[in-house]
Amino acid sequence: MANSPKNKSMFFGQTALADKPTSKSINPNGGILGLIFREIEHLGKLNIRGDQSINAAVKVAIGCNFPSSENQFQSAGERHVIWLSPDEHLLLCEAGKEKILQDDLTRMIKTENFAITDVSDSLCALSLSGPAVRDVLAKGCSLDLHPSKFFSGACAQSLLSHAAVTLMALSNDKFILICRTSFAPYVHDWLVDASLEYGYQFAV
Amino acid sequence: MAGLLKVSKSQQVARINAASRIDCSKPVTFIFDGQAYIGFAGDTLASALLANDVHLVGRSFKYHRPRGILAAGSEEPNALIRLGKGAYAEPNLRATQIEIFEGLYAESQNRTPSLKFDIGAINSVLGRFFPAGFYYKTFMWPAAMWMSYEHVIRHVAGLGKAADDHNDPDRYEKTHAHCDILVAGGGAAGLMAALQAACGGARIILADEQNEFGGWLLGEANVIIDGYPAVSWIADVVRQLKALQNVTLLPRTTVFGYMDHNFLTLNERVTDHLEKRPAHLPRQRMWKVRAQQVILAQGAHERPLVFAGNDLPGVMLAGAVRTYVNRYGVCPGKRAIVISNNDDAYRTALDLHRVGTKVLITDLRAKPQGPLVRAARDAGIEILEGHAVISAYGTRRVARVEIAPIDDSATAITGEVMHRDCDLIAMSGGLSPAVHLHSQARGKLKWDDAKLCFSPSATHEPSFNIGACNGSFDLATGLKEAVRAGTKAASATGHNAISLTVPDVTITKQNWHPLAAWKIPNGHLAGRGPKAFVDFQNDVTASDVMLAAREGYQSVEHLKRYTTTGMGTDQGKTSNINALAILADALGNEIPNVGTTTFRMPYTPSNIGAIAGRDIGALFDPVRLTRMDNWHRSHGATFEHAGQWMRAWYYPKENETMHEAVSREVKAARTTAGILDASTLGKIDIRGRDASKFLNRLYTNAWSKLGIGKCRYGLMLKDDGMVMDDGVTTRIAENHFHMTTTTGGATSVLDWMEEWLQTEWTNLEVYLTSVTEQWSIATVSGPNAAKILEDAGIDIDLSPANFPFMSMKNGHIGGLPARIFRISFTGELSYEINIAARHGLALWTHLMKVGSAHGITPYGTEAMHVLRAEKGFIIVGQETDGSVTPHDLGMDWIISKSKPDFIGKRALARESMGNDNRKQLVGLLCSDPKTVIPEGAHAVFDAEQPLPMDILGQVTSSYFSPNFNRSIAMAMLKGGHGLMGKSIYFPMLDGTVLNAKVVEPLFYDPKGARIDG
Repeated sequence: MANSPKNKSMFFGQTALADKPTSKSINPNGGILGLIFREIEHLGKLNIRGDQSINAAVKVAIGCNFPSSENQFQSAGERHVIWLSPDEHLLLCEAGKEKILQDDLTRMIKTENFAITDVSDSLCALSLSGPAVRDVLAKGCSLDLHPSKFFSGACAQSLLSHAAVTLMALSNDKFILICRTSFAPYVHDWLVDASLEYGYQFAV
Repeated sequence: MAGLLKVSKSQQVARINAASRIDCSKPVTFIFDGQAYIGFAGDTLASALLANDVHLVGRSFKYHRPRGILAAGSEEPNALIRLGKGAYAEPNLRATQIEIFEGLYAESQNRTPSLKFDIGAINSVLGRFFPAGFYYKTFMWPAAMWMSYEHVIRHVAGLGKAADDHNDPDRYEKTHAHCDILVAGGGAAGLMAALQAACGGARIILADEQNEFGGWLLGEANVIIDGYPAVSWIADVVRQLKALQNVTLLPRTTVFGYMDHNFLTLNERVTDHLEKRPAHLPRQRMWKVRAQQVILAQGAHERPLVFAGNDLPGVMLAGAVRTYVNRYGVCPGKRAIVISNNDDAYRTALDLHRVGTKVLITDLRAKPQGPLVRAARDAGIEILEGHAVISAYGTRRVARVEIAPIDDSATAITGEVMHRDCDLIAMSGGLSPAVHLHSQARGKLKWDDAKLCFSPSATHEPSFNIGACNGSFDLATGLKEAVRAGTKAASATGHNAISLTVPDVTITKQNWHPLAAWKIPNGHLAGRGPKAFVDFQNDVTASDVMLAAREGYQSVEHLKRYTTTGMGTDQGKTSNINALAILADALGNEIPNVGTTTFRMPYTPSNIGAIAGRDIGALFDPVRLTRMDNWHRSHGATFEHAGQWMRAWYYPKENETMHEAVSREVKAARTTAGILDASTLGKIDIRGRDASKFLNRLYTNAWSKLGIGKCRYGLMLKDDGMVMDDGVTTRIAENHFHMTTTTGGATSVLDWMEEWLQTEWTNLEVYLTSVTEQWSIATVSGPNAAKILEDAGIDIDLSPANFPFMSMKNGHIGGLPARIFRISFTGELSYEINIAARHGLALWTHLMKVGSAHGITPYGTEAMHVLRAEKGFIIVGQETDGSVTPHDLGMDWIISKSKPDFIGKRALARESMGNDNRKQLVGLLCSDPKTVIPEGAHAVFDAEQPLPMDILGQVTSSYFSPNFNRSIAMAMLKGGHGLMGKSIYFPMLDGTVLNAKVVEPLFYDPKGARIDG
């Protein structure tokens, strides 16, 4: 056990998709793979509940403001603050940083009416990229994913087939997908299946 | 394939040498009813069969009459084919829509033993005895015999035969799509509208059910648009559309459903037309499209004329005949009779004449005039004005007709009957706009008394109807509407563009006002003489419709159900208007007053596989696994579903039965130690100044005074006072609680709590966050539990004085931070160790390792159930079913008397809640200690009473308890609390009767002496 952690993975523990090996299929039409995806392992995640009054503390502790509009996220380097509802945001941060940020936020917020909860193990984040990423997602998501509507910086909570997911568009062909950890294997299997006609790679 | 079967000698005798859309350089061999034929690339199965002079392609539904190909599109009622073999076979496909490919295998339907000789055809001879409603009338009595009748009827009647293997091996997919404008139908109007709409940059989807765009113009020979033959103009527009990034073209795609909010469903046949289907592509794909605006350009369907023998093979729609000639290079007959009530069929006559067919026109109108009539006359085609084909004859194909002069209203024969031989009848009864999608979306219809058709009036959704489906049969008008709709729809989505010039159309003028002639007279009384069909697919005749009217079926919806007209795979595309016109006539009513039946999706049948998509097998529903799942799996656990979760059920050792394994696990938990994966429990983090106030309202008991680090069990009620969920909630800090819920209730309880906070108690400062998956839980239970935790390296003093029952401590175990709850669902000394989920497996493995010296035994959900039943603990959803109060469970102690309010309090105060006769929780001991009473068994006082018995209640939980070496059970019985010591009975299905004694529902350690180990 971790009395004397032998290595990093021992310390960080098990990831959501630890049992899914690297896999790929070729693009049947030739050319580059339509979808490349991987788990962003041990990404720190904090659920932040509280209204706009805590924004100042968030800005200081995390380095970026709450997003100015609903269904968008704000980024500062590797950190993203994702709008979930008028009084709920999700922070993605560097692996292992979540406890420090949770403490910082708790200390800095002056009001009583807030809740910062560590959900790093509760949620799994996947990085999705490739020219077919929007077409693959469209097979399971009823939202309009056209780049003019789901632009870089946009996010939304929806269903991907039967899994509740949060989608973030980083660019035209790059997304982050967040789901409950126990749904991650299903999401993995679903993505592999849905990208059959485009070719895919899942890398550990 | 062709090597094995002899190719028909008379190869493609009906193929003509004329410009067409088929590729004569690419012969394609296919098989129909065991016979190999050759067609060409570009053929449909229908056109290829006609090219080989095959007209007889099926037998009808009820009378098993020989049937041929009526149409050339998706409205085809007759030519239904079973395509493919084995698991790939699919029935009821329209030959007119099947594109042929090398080796295609097709069979006709509804015939025994063969198409040419069919036993069922006897029904046709006996047809007089099979009137409308025959089955309803005949098989009503005796009612018990229906099951026998039905077996025979189902075999004889019915359409097609499903695949032999029910595991469809094909891949189907679904996808979502959004667009500014969806254009349904890619004929001239649809193409033009799409081009116009796309100009301003709007996102367009253009779908058409055919393999290529162009609609009916693909089958016209003499239409010029902007100075080019129509097909060249079409090719040019398609080229322009393909070049546009904002346009998605979907050929072979049927828009089959139009729902509220401009949500439409499309079925794309991706690889059906290919000989070798690439494995990476779905066979079919269902598109779920959400459009801002919809432009409907579906075209129109030609109507048959209702005359005796109009269902014979060789009797076809005039427009379809023209399509076969011009699009497919097939001439369906050498001696043709054209029968028409309008100008349009003259085009068919002229095209047939051009390719060398001898043509006679019988025009129902007394004095037809106009350029087309003149052209026919000038070509030397014989025209009989004011005449009708009153009867057609033939065995497997039409061979001769009776023609007679008729009066101006086409209701009576006015002169001598003449006979003519023929091998083709091209009939035209006017056009019916395809208003199906418009109507599905609750658009209104209006009757056009000049054109004799229903056309769209007000739309319900943001949509436009253009071209023939709008009743604008004239091409130039249709294109004008297309430009207008395209401009307006684009503008409505914020994409303005200058209107394109309406293309210039050169086509021989015609009038679109057919003669109203719904039933051609044949000199016989209704119901006598040869049959004149209205609905080909359902074998409904004109006299059936009239009989139904006489029997009182005045509503068109009743007519449909009684006669089955308009039912089946074609939903009456060719028959509905004729049927309701004949009904209107029989009722002496006007057509618009009779109205149409309701249009429902799908427009054409859609494969259920495409609707299911990939939601099959492992992707049917997500399976959720705990972080410790790998250990359970590799240690031989069996599993049971708990919602979407898979939980370890029991861990059989080699050769152990379930009973033996569960007994071993239960005993270990009471004698040494058991360990349970409890990770699936719902967990909710509750924070805020009003957290305890919130819990006070949510739970029936009091929470304000709960000390920090203390745990309390709570019951949650719905506002009707019934138990909804239960669990242990712990005060982490003054304003911070950790709630647990049942596994199945995790989501609904969080939603319930959020709803109260967001809608009713908005002034409470409370925030909730689900942490169900943040924590993995290993529960160690039993006398050795503390020893195991100590050996595992816990940094907490476990003495009961320091760490009492119903409290929580933060600490470390094996160096990792953990939250440990001293709560118990077994009645034994028990620790629920919560650890960050990523370390769940490591924790479990570690505990198993250090616990082996102390007899640690993993136990599953079954042993958990037995252990809690021994202690009389309820499981929400097992003892309760949404109609059980705390009092019914004997849990009055958990209802606070001092709290001003909590959810369900008011309901509990109702008088009926105190009724002694409510079902109440009791324990049961079966008189035979070896017998476990089945769960769900019904209890009675007297097993000898007559049926139906007076039921006391039912067994909710029942197990063999290894600790007592006897069976125990829990039950909900009427007035159960007052039945202690009474004897009750359980009559079993096999006739035996079990006997049990009612006891308190607490079997083990009633004083709770074991809780500290």
